Amino acid sequence: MHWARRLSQVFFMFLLGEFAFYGVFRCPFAVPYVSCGNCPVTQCPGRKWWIPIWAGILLSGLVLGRVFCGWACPAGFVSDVLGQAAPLRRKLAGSVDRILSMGKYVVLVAAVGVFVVLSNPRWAIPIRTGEFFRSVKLTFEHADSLWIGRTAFVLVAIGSGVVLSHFWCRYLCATGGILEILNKIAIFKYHRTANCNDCDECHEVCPVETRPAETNCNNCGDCARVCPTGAIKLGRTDGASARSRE
Amino acid sequence: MFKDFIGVGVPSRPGSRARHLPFHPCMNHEAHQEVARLHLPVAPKCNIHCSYCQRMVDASRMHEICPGLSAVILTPAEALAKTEAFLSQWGDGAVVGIAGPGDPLANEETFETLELIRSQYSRVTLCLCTNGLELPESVPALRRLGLEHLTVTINAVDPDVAERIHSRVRIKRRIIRGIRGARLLIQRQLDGLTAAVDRGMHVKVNTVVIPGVNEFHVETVAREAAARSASIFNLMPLIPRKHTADRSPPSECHIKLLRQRCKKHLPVFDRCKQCRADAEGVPGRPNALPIKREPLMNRRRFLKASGIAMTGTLSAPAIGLAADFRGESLQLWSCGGLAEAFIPANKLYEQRTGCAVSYTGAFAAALGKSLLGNAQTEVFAPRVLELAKRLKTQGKMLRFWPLCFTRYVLVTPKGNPAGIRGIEDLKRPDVRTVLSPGASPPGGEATLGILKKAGVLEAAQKHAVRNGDCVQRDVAAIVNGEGDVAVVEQRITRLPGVVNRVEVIDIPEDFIPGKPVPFVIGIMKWAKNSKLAQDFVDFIRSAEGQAFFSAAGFIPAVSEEGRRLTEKYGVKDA
Repeated sequence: MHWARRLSQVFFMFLLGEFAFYGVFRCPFAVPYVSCGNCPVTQCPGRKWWIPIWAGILLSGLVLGRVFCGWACPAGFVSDVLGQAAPLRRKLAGSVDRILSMGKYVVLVAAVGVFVVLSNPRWAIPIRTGEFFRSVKLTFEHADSLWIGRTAFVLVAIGSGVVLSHFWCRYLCATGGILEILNKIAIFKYHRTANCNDCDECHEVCPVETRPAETNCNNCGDCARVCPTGAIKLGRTDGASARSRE
Repeated sequence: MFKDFIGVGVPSRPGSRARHLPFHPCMNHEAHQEVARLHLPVAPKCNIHCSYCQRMVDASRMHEICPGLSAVILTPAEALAKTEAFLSQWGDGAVVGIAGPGDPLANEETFETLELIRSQYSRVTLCLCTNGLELPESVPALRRLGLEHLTVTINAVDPDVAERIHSRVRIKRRIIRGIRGARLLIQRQLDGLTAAVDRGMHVKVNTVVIPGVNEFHVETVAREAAARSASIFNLMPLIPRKHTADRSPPSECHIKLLRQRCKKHLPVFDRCKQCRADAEGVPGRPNALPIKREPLMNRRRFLKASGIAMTGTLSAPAIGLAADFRGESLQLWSCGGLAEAFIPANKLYEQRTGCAVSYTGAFAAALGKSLLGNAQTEVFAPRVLELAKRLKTQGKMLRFWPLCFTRYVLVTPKGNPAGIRGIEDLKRPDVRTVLSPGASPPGGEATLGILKKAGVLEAAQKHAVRNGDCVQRDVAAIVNGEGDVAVVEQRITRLPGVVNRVEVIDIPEDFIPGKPVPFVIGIMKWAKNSKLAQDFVDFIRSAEGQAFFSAAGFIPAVSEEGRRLTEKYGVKDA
């Protein structure tokens, strides 16, 4: 684990952590983080910051693909920490991994559907302002069972990171889905050059169990230092060579 | 006797023209002794540099008297609270103005404050003083707010002189230095003066007399002011500060001589005390130094005047002698709709007493359900009277008092494009309505009930362009002109993003359902310190506390209208 990435994660946890927390535990909407413009929860930092935050995430996606996931996302940070203990690391076959990875697009489509078709209904009673944990308690106390369901889904999925490293990020995160798409057209990313001899050292250390420029790679760069042939580079992709390796 | 501010003649004296001056403490010698004025320090920013000015927000310099000084900066809501307390002390004849500490026209808060005050006091005299740089564009807005008195400080009408006083000006974020800046400043000051006079405003021109800089130029300024029909002229002897700290102020006899000369051109005001930006009281009386807090007597007098039951309230310490609850905490729950009022009110209470208010605001029915279950809080302010009564029957709420009332209104986009005059117009087939049938109780059902009672529900439903489930989103459809009219609580029209972007039309009271209208505030049996809980409730129900509720769009219980509604809805703790 490179210290710069940890430092960045701590920094962004400080910046985005509260918003992330509100989205999971206090956001009254079915799809959190995206209806902040008319949200009655006055305390949530998202009321002021949601547009710049999303603009930043999407822009980072265009430039550096899923870099947000590995360097800034609070849930990614939590998953990194949980993943340290994951006993099932590298236990999934490539084909299973690939199928499960489609899950994030399913969640993304569902979220967009709820947002557009149902115009993002409120499934919980907004606790407009209040003490941190008491408000969470009140939110749970008065929420719709649908809200309890979606929150439980998110928490269980993130928690599953203990068993299967980055379970949420790899298979279910809708934002991850958006960034995965952007990753394909991103200007810069980590990729393997022709020097690669398929030793799979990178796969060995990868927190999300992939290889540079492949599905779920979030450009964290952890692998670049372990490559015995120095084949992992950050930069504009040599599309042909990267593809020929797959 | 102060009802008619305009048209009271200044005492005739040799040399002065027979001219009518407004009965304003800064323009009229008689008014100076009698009319109280309040300066609201809401404008910290400035847009020009003046060699003599040392702007300062410093509570430890209360003894100094000089423009540009203030102990605090108030937010518009705090300023409204201050105004309510002040007017209850001095009566509606008092004058409320904004005099800095920066330039009022360089601060958005100035307009917000004036608008807030005007929305509560349609007749109070408002005034303002400025350096004039932003005046030409501001005159229409000021006039719309019913501002009739204005002071413009013009220290020179010759750019060479002005440059020595004002080394730079800032306009539209650009800094312009030297003679160009000075030229621009003078041009805009004079244009602004003309525009204000043309719009029927009484304008006083101030000139700071700086020996060695503009002392021989003052009469020229007076002549120019007179040529543009300024009402009165005021010479302010330099108070040496900042870049003029090593200069001596003009001698008294020099000032007298200059006044004599200026009197040839227009009336001259010679009582000016060069007040601070947070001054209050009657300027001509010795006790007119900046007073930070209301003395005990006045608050009592007000409470008596407003006919509040004296029991309980009198035991409340006056604001000036606020009780000290440092290190203590109070848990407050309220209906979420009141959050916009409680958040700033709690902040002020925390500053006053040192007590930490831990506040939760959410849907009252939900909080009530928790409290009827096994949740606890110390003070609870619910909507719907029945909830308070039920909590009381259970022995959980000890006592409660009326707090405020909501008001349902029609909102239309700015300019009211469909020309709606009243609720009956919702029948018109060309009127596109915005309904919120799915919104939570005070929004959805109640608003449909109003339409039904007014006999327009069917038509309104037929012409609905939106059937939403969230009042905040639905009102956005009014703001952006998607719909022509909606029924909402007045508080919604005060939210950021809505305020000043809609028009509000009254709905006759007969159509309003009673249930969601009253709010009460009660002390719960879990209050750790009952004295603290009582003190907090008293503060919230004082003129100062209630001002936050009126600013957030509610009718305060202590207002005349509030007392009528208290009777009407039987908001009694018994």
